[in-house]
Amino acid sequence: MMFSKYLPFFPDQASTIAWQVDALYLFLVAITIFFTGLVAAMVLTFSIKYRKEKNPIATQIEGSVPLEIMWSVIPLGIAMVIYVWAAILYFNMERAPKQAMEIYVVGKQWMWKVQHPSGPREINQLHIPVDQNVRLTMISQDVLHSFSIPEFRVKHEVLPGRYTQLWFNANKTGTYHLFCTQYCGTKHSGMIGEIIVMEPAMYQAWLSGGSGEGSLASNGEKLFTSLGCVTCHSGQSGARGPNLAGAFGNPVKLADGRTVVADENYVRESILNPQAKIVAGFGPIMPTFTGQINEESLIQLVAYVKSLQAEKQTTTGAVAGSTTNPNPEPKQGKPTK
Amino acid sequence: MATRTDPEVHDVGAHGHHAGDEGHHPRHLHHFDTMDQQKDASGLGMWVFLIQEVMFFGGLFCAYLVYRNRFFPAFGAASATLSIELGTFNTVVLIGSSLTMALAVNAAQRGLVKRLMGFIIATMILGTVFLGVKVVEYSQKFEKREIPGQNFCFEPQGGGRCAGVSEAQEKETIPDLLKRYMTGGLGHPPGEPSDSALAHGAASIPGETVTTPEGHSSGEEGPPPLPGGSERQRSMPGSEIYFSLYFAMTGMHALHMIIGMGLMLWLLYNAHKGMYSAAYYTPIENFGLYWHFVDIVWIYLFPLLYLINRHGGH
Amino acid sequence: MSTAVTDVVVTETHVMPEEHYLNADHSLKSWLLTQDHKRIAILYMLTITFFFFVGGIMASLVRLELLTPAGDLLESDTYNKAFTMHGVMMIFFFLIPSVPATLGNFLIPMMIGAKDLAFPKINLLSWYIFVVGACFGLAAMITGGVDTGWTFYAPLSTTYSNTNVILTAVGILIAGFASIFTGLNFIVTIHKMRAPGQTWFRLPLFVWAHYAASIIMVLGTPVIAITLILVALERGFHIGIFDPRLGGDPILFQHMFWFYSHPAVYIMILPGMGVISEVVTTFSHKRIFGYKAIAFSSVAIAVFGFLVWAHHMFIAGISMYAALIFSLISFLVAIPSAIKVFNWSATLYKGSVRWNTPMLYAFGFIGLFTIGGLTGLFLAALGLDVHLTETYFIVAHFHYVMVGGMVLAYLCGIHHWWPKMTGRLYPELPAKLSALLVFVGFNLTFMPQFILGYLGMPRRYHSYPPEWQVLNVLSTAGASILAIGFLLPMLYLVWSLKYGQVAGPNPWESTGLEWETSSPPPSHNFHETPVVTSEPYNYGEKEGEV
Repeated sequence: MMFSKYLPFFPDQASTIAWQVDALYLFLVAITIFFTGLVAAMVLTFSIKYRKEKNPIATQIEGSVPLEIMWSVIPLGIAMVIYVWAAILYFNMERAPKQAMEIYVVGKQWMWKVQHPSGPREINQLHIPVDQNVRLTMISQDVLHSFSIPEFRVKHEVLPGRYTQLWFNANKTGTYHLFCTQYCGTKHSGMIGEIIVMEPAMYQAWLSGGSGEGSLASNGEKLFTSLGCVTCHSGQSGARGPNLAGAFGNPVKLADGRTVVADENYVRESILNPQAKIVAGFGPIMPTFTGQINEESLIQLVAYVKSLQAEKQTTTGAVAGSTTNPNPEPKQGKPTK
Repeated sequence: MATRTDPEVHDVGAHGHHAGDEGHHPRHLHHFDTMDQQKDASGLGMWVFLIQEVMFFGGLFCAYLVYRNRFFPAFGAASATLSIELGTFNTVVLIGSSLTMALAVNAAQRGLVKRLMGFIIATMILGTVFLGVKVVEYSQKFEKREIPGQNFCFEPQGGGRCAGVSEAQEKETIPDLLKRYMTGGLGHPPGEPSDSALAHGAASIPGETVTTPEGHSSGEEGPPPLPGGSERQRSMPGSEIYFSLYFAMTGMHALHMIIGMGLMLWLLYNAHKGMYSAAYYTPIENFGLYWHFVDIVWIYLFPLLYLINRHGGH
Repeated sequence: MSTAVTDVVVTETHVMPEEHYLNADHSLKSWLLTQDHKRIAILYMLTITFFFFVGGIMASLVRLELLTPAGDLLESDTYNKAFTMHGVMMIFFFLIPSVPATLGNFLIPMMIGAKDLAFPKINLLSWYIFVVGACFGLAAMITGGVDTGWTFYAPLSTTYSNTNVILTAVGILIAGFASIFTGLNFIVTIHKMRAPGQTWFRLPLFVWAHYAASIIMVLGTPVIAITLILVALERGFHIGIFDPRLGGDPILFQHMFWFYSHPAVYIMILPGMGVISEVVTTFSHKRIFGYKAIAFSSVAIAVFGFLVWAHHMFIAGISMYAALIFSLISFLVAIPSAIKVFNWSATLYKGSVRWNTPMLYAFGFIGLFTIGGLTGLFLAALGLDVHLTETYFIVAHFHYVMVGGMVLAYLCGIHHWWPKMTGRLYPELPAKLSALLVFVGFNLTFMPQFILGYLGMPRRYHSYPPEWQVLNVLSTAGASILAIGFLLPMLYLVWSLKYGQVAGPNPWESTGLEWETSSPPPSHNFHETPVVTSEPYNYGEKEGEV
């Protein structure tokens, strides 16, 4: 956009982080131009000024310790400035703010599948409201993928077997590129899509125009029943499995004495590999669900377990300040088949 | 840099002017100035090679470390299936072979060729015993289906689930099995792996054919399922990785031993021809280093693979 | 006097020595069973030249496809195979052996005053191993190719790809042993075979650079060997090491892969830096500025190079704190490279500079490597790497270091030592033209890719949004100039074998032991074991004698 349609230099700045990345980039470009120019000037000046025709006999110089120190320490200093600057930026990019609307993404060869908590699902498209923190929880069901939105300057790998997260706050409405940037097989370059940033009102309208699917959590609840989870995780005292209400996001004491925080990856692992981390006071009796349940269903289960926490906490008002996502219970689209 | 032939700088290095003036040894290669230089170079070369070997096994140990932490109970349970008696026996055998190898080097240093040959043969016998025991251990794993791949099945409690081998599988000999692994295992059949021919994971949930509201038919298929039976799916997560590492690590170790046995045959042949003497025994010495290295690798493998679940706590 | 000195080389007529390593024996057997490091170097040179052009053809296909936004020239499958084979051929079968196995093999024994490498048989064996490995690679390509990218990331390589992954992996594994043996041979040779008086600090910097690179070859290569063995086992037998369906971790593969493959770029670039140190001193007729700083910076690069591998994985889900440390060390590893660049530039100061072809390549190297190195800082910078990684910025940076750096250094070295290897001079004019074409073509090819990368164009894409076409067309245009620049030396260098002017032992008036003996050298390098009495690059002393 910066120069012309045909010879662009910068992608759009469409997220709150974009200008910060651009600032660091321009700083580094300046450094690069300066040092490349310096070296080129030295090489050309010396080799022309002291060419053999002009300077038939070279003056022998062994070296100079002060100079060596100078050109080690100055670049080191500059490098450290860049390092700290970039590290702070990275921490801002990696650590999602507490209050963010959550969207789930499943990558597969060769498409992106998006699930909004309130129900709507999309393929190779992601509709989001402008000026709103959005956190994506992503997983791949086959190979490595990577979720990249150049206009937002964000990108994160999408791994099989583990949730990764990406957050951004789009501050400009429009349609932007979505790329898979981790090479993922034959149609890697076809694994692209659009990010559509809308005014909040438009977004609400889009949400309610959905195809009428139940919310993630409610689908998860159905799975929870049909898979038989509910028989042990009944929530009653004396149940064979731990009570899941309010468990999410809190520390869990394990049988081997460790304490872990029950995050998305913990819930997922507990479904697929229940023996790995057994909650103190319970036996290793849960069967594994490896191979019996796909990533989208897992996400629904995770969302359901999460919603148990949300239900508990809505009373305290501690949940995300998002207008669209305070409660994953279905807002619309009741008639689920 | 300038070169001079001034006599005063002749003693700068330890190397003589040109070899072969007095007592030229038949094994002395032309590009070395002295026999000592040749021996030093060979020794250093062997050590550098062993450092390379350390890095080679280091990769495996690193993978082991990561997964041991991740699948702590599974590694313990899987380790418990190994025969500690056979493992201990093999450890003793291998240490014994290191001893005979050291004695062989000693004999070579003293120029006792008969003795040298005797100890090399003894080392080879012990090496063969070790590999023989390994074959027994491997075949036990095959029988119990504790071998990674399509047939894998592992149950720590021994509920008899893995015993149910089909008749065809029972009749299968180890070579048959290996052949099937080789032919069946090479990549996917033609066609793209995510073709809908590969059933999606959700379908296997009983009574739950469609877990999510339909409407995105193009995106419904799951990942390609693991080849192999449901027993494989239901095996303790992480246990198959343990056995993969077990076979990879002990297999690489055994491969080194087999190469070592081949080298010993060659040394034996050369010794028989009278190539080695108190003045020249570098190959024997360097091979000794190699054999000790292989021994040391086992000294690490044994506790990591056999003993991790045998401490007081269990 | 000045002009007279310049013309000495041209006017003085030399005759070829009667006996040298090339005419010692003419039979094919004498070449295929040779234990002469110089002949093995020639064998390597022919082999890797072949693979350079195979890789080059693959690169041409990639660039032609990217001329238009739509994927219209090649099927996406074919395109994926093309860039994979380009990477595999260029990295494993050209760049890694390029300078060490050819120039290093040829020159290290001569530079330290030895008759041969410590283990000539292992040296020959390494060439055979390399050829066998390369044949596996070629077989994989001919029988259908491989489409995983040269990085072989699991689980794409272990489970999902339908192509010849095992064959390629085995080929690379085998070729890896050739690299290990070369490194082992160099280390032992440099330690044990130095001529009388050739102390460590009298070694040419070319030897120091190879010593550092050899350490990486010996320590790093076995790790890629075991990693590829595990990939092949997992693919062949469906065992679980990296398979996430069995609880395996694909990130572990990346750790193991980059533990070798990051240091591997230093295997590629360090020997190139060694070449530049020799050429800059020779053609400025001056001592190197800061000998010890350059020598130790090579070793520092080798050591620090082992501690930065995870900077390829900043967004792959490694811990933020791990990323912090790997980023820091990545910045540190830039400093020794900066020291080298400044020292080379300072060497020119008050020198007596000749603009011969090798020097032009050296100038090109210094400029392009500086850009390559500085753009590395963009990628070491955590917050910026998030945006730039996996885009064409990576591709451009990597090629600035590997082509702008290493391939130019290789061509520089070939032009510098060609008279020594063949006894003949090549014509300067076409050689200078090719250096210019390579420099211009290279920049035109890869500079637009930096911009494309910042715009977000992902690498390994078969098709792309139309707004990026102009930059891609520029890049493809540059590539065609680059191709001419690479083909030209094939013509005049081959021409020079027969018609080139006889060079004489030291056409560049260089110091250094390799120039003391005749060109081409005799089979045993020196008629008499040389004795070294002074520092390298002692141009002042020579001047005094004149």
